[in-house]
Amino acid sequence: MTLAGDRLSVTLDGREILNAVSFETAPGEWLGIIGPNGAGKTTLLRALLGQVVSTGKLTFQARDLHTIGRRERAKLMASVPQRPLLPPAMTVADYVLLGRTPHISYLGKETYADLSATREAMVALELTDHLQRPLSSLSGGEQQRAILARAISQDAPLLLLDEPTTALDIGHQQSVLGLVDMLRRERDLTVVSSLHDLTLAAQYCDRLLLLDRGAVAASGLPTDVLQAESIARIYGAEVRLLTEDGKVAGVVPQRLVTSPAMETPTPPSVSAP
Amino acid sequence: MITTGSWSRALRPRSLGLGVLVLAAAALAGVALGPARLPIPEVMAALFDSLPGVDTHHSLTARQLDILFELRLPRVALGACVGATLAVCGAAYQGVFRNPLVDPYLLGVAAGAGLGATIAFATAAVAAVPVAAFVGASAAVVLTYAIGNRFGDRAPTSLVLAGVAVASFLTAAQTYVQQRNSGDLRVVYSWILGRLGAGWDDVRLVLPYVVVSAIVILLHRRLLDVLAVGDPEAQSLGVPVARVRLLVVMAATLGTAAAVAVSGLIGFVGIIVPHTVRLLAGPSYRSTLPLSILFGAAFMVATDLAARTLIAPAELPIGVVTAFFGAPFFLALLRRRG
Repeated sequence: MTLAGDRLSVTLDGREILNAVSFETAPGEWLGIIGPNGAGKTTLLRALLGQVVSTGKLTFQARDLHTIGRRERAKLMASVPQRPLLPPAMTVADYVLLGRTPHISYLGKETYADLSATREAMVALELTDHLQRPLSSLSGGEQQRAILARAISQDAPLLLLDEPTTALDIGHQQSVLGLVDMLRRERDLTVVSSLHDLTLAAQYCDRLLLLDRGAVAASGLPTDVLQAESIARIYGAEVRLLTEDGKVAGVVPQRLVTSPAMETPTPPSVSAP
Repeated sequence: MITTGSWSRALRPRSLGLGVLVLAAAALAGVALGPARLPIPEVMAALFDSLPGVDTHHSLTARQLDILFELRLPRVALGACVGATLAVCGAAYQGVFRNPLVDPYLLGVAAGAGLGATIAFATAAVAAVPVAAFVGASAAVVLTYAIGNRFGDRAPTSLVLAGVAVASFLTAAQTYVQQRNSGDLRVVYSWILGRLGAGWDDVRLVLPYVVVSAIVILLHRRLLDVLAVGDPEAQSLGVPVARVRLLVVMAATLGTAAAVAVSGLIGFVGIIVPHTVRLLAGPSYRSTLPLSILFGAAFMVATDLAARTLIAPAELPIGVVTAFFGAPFFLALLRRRG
């Protein structure tokens, strides 16, 4: 029932983007993929989606994701890309209905079951007041919910999110991740998401996979993966970890002293509550 | 009860009814009006009378019946076929390439058909004009598709750019052939500007192709909506994007080539009609495609009526009339997007 990758490698244009990446996550868990820019986070998600050719083993619910058909894969996993293309004039209802595509035969028409799944997804994301509105007229937060509703109506046990918080303000970041967490619990979804923000990764993910130049630098519980030394080594960033009840509650970058003429200030004291 | 009608903008019976009504009105005007004016009630009675099993009384003379059934009706039927095809193919190209400015002429289809037809005229193989146009159109699309895929990262826009290049090249070749054979210039010109010939032969020639083309396109209407979210996402929704694109492009090219072969170059129909229909019924291809067929047919019949009555007894080339309305429409569309 788990999602597992074993020595997964991806080579694009002669360059090795992923090198023998192994990971495993239990059903209902949230796996966060972290790492600096260019570490291979998005490529790993694209390998799961079958959008790039990968070698090694990749299984979900005991199915080999390398040989699975396009439609079967779409029934197993729903994906929310970093910047989804939103057809401006399409209505919310029509957009959410697109999530049912893998369940409708090639030249077929949506059934009652497809319509109820669509309706249910729109209820779950509180979109029922906006059914007939074109996507371009929605606010940023409403668009996010419409995108999630489309993924939810797909009714797949695995949800992939590529940097779901990019370009969102702090309030929207919180609400999007909160919604994903709620949907995950309600529907027992396995979630895999790449994340830039280490604090959010620590707060929401059950398990983290830290990538560095295409290889696994660390993986496991957030407390094990998020270490000041490894973050310094891999990201080249000086951070301070905030802990709460033995768990990482925040990853705070320290202000760098850029001018050698300046005196070294004492780091601000941060105390965990 | 959850129905698509309650919250989705799928095809509504009201829009469909309006389309049928508009087409019927245009067709009736098309058969009744002209240099010899036929009374509309009598025309309707004669048309019903011609149906098997229906017997109505009318007072049209034998000559008027000839005008109706051998002159006007085939011309209206051909106009309806050509208009419906150009409109639905335009909408299909727009969906497949996610580009609202694309129409059957942008991919080099028209230029290819033009070159094929001109070669046929130049070699005095006039009977082969439709076939030559079809071969030229198909070759142009294959060329455009190959170049766009090879050099353009498979992005839809690169296909359009390849189409423009291919069209320019084929137009140059066509002009060369044309100038070398100036004796046939007049007939080529009249074909290039678009014309709807009279006679059932053309209708019979074009009908099988446009029916097949329209059916294939209509069957893909839901998938064209999925393509609107982009190739990677459509793919992750389980859609075989490359196959859908190839099938729809092939069907639209077949339809366009057949229409061009019998009517010459009639531009802008594939732009005007689908966009007007979208304003009426929303952006979903589930409504745009069937309504484009009805309104495209009506638009072409009405345009042809204008072309043959405005400067009667002379006739305007129909491509001139569509361009007169189409070019400003195209510019307005450009402006709205910019």
